[in-house]
Amino acid sequence: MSAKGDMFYAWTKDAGIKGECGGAVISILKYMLTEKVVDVVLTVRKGVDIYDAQPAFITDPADLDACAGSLHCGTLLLPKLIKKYLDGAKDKKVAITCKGCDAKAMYELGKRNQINMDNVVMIGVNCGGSVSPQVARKMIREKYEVDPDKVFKEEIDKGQFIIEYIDENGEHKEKGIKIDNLEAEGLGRRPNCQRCETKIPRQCDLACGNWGVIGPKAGKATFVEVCSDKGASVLDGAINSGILEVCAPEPKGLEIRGKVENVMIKMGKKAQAKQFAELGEGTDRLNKLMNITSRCIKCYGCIENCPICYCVECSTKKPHLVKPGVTPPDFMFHMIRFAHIADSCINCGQCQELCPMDIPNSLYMHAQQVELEKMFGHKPGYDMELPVLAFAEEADERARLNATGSDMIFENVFGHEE
Amino acid sequence: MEIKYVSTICPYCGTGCGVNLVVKDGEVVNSAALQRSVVSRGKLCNRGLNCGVEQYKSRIITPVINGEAADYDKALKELEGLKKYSGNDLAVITSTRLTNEANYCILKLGKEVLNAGIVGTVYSGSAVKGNAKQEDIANAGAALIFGDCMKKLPLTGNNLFNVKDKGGKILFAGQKCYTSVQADEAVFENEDGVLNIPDSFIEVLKNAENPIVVYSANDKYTEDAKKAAESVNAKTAVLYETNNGRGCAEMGFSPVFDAIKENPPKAMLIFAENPELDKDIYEPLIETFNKIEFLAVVACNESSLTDIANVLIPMQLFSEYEGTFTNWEGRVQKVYAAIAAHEGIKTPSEIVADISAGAVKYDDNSAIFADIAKNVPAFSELKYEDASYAEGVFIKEV
Repeated sequence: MSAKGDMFYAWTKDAGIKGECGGAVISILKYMLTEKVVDVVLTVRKGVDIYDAQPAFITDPADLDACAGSLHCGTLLLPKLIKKYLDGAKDKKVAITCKGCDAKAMYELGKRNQINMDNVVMIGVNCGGSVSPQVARKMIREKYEVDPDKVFKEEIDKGQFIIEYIDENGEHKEKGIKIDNLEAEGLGRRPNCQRCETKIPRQCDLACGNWGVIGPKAGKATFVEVCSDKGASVLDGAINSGILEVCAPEPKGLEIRGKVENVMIKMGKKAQAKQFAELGEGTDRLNKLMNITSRCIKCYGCIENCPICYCVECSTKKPHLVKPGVTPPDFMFHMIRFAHIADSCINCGQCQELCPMDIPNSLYMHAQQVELEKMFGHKPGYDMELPVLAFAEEADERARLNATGSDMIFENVFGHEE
Repeated sequence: MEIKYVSTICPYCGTGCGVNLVVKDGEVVNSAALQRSVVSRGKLCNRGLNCGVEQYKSRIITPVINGEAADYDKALKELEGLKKYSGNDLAVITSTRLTNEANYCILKLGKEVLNAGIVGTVYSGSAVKGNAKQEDIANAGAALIFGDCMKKLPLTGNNLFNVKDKGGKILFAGQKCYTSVQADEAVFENEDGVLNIPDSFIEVLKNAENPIVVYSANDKYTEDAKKAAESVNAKTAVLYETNNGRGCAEMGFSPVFDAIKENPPKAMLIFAENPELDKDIYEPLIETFNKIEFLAVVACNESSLTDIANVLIPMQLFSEYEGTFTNWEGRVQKVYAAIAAHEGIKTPSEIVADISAGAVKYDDNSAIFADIAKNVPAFSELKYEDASYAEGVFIKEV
């Protein structure tokens, strides 16, 4: 019997699973689907090539085999798909694989009653960051001088982005370049991944990865940390069903895992300091922000994909706040977003990644979140605490505000100062 | 419950963004970014973000003869009436939003089988061709843009920010709009609607590395733009506002709006555009259509045109059959069937095969494409399978 806080090396007993490092993640998912612990698995699968990560909704356990392996060019965020296509897991049991940003998005959607967390099992996967597919192809072509179509595997390890490819003589080759060097030239991981501090997603029920797997099991097992009672029962279930085997981790491995995580968190903090400094301060920062957001075409892509945005009645669509039919929209459009959600920004990067006009939305949003956290102590994506401005039931809250007869939002929220 | 993402190409503008159609239990319920796309890098504008659902409104599923529902064979028989007309009495009109394969079949039907004097598109597609690609815009040292190109083709327009970010100038000519706001300098039409490009603009282009002139095909500024580009020997990015405008232009389709309006033919066969995509492009021609003796329409959605057709035959939507689109750059990309068509509703090329009684009939898209490669110079040496590559394949500059 495992318990919250336990750690294991785990590997599959299923010959069909060709997992990268022991195949524990796929095995656990397969167990849950086969034994009907969940109705559907939401994960990522490879599309046309390694640069094409696609969301996969899987109900047939056999289809899981094709989802094995990590895709570092996968920049998807999955949780909002539970809200959009699985009715927020209201009556369906869902297992989902989560990078750090996915895990935090789950919590933010969960605490706003957009996802029924009771029906969800979160399988966390360690993440050192992801690279946008076209950036990856560009840097492989230009910096590695390799045809990106010849690359069959990529890996982020020991501070390097490593590719494995077949050269012109048909030989299997490997090449790595330091991530720092790539990122100094605007390549490498997405800017939000560079700033990220959530490397081992302990918000999940289980946190899995290959960091810290050493000794005879190196490359053949997955490191699994049990992060909740639900996680313990799922892991026990998988072991009892015979699909998974575990052993105690090497003590030295634990140490190494901790070190990797700490180094990465430090890198994240350093990247935050650097990127935020470039934004300038005060009026300078505001001017930069006004200038760059004037590229907006008001496609609502940022709102559509933001895991915090869920309002049915979005203030950016109120004609008295943002004049309809005008592009670029008034600066108020962006002000509304900053004011409403910056306190809960989990730095998933979607608003920037998907912006058709390449506005670095996530950078500004995250910069604000960090300041707001200092002021109000709300750390988004780590627990189920609601921030000051999040109202779980929008309709009720709007009715309450309307009933006050005042349009002074500050007064309505914080009350009158005596 | 089955939910799947089907990667395909956005049906709106000529940029050719990659888009995922989200299919739930056999129905398209949404669209989402396709991060893998070399054209759009996972980004979509509001049209792409909504292309999953907009298409399915007011679909036509039953053939109609003079206002009465009919079966397909009867409607087909009725179309034999087209044979009474030929030359300038007959026009065959296509949509620049249909696939290369569909359009090629329609071209052959019009020219070789029905001997129509007028074979063309309503307003899009033209003989004007550019010689630039997306990366030429991104790498330009300065750009002169005519009209609201950045708004009309957002994922093409965003490349212009690269010019700005590198310190190059964006110059604008036209009317006040989104693009003029983004420009470093702008000139506007005078009261008579005339554009005067200042010498200073030409100087900026002359002194820049890899200058580029960006404009829309079939825009009123086409001549001004051509002149400006020629005077500084700049590359030209000629943008199409429809997803297969370039493909249609290469096949030789050109707009016949004015010709039809001036001299309405006696009979017409129209493979219609989906009005849910943009606007009802047929509305300005309704008066003309009303004068026509015999109006046959093949369409997937209701429009002002389908309301007045003598014979109406339903066809499949872009998301129901495979094929290829050619974006404004000349990049041929494959589109995939995301959902099954309503029973009995055929693809445009199958309908052409039926109308032509087998005279224009191919085994599959690959065979149609082989014929395109043989007869359309820009497509020579290309194969249908080449377009399956995730980044598509370029036609030749001819």
